[in-house]
Amino acid sequence: MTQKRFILFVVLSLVLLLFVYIKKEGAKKEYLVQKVELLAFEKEAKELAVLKNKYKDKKTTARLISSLKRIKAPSKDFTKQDIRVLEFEKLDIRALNQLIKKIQNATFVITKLEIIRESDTDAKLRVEIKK
Amino acid sequence: MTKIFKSDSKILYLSSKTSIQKSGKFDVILSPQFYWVKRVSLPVSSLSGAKRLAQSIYEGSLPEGDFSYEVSKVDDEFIIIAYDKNSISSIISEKFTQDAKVSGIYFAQNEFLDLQGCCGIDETNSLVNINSLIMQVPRVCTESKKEISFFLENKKLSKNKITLGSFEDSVISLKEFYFVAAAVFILFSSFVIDWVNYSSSLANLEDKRTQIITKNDLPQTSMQLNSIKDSLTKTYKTQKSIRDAVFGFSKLNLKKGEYIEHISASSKEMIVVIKVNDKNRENEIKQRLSKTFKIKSSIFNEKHLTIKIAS
Repeated sequence: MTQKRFILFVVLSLVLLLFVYIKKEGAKKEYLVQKVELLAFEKEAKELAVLKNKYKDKKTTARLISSLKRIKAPSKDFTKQDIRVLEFEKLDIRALNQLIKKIQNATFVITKLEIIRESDTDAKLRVEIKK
Repeated sequence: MTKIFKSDSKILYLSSKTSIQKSGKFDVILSPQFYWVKRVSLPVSSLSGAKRLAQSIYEGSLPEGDFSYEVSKVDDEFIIIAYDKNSISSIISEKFTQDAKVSGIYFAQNEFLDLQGCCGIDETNSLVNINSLIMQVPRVCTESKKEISFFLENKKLSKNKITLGSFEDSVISLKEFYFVAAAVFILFSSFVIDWVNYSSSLANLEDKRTQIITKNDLPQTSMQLNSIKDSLTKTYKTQKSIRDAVFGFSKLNLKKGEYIEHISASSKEMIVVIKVNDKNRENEIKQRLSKTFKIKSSIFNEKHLTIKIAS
């Protein structure tokens, strides 16, 4: 192979290798970035799905409201626009604690919660739940 | 691998009597005995036109072989050289053996065009310029006083180098070249395979992202996704703060005669009203609550302490 042809071969090979190498490295970098982003996205998607199920599941909300009503029958139970209002009166300490515990662990959306002392032994609880 | 950039070739006039070269690097000037030359007048003016006619000029006058033609112009006529690459290759391989290498091959016709008279090339032959045709003739026919070595000394070669394909100046042997080419090919292939793999994996990541969205029943566009994310995050924070507030108020350490009168928690504000024994208790209770909550305001009115905290 002549000097000129060999130099041409070397130069062309280097150019070609450099081109493919740059393309490969670009794709690699892009892949690694996308992979990290996908892992973060997967984690975030799972969290969003959990939150979505937690706050937008109407069946669960209805089931939890029923469980509150089983502790003590509400003195008032009505719906105002898309808000369900439950009012429990003359609650003794035991019933009040049970209701508070249930509400704290429930996954429905509370728009307002009020606890009012009625007497030395009784309290009133009013909870507004988004439907 | 030999030196690539340095040119240190020696000029050698090659005739059938030239001794075999075993080492060194040479620019070879071919004796007229290795080619045919004619000076003709043609009805064309360009070199390319003359080259097209070259084969017909020599028709019937050349031995069997695969001939190539080179054309140059002198005055209004053309000088046409006919040469057989294979036979020249054979001569070159015969005369240059072992470590001897050939950098370039030239015709005496082109290199001695400016020869005046004649010059001796060996004991029996001379080179003469007859009407711009360089011929090799028996020495007895000439009165040469100068030897070829005189002309080759400091000879500047023309640009009319011929290529034979396989016996030119080899910077690397064919075996070495195959080795280098194979290495380049392997490297190139590995880069291409990596590139394709990464590109394909990237496409897979896109598919996986779509699968995650479908599996979790989320919106497709990032704008919708961000919107739902903001909404859910806000809901989560609000709900957590309402529950934390009720839990925090219910855990307050109150003294005998003290009690919580009212708790109100919503996304807008959290209020607790406590009946306390005296005003000094205001700071104690506020201090206690400030460990968990950010207190917005507090009012003490007739043993009733009203504290607002940020939601």
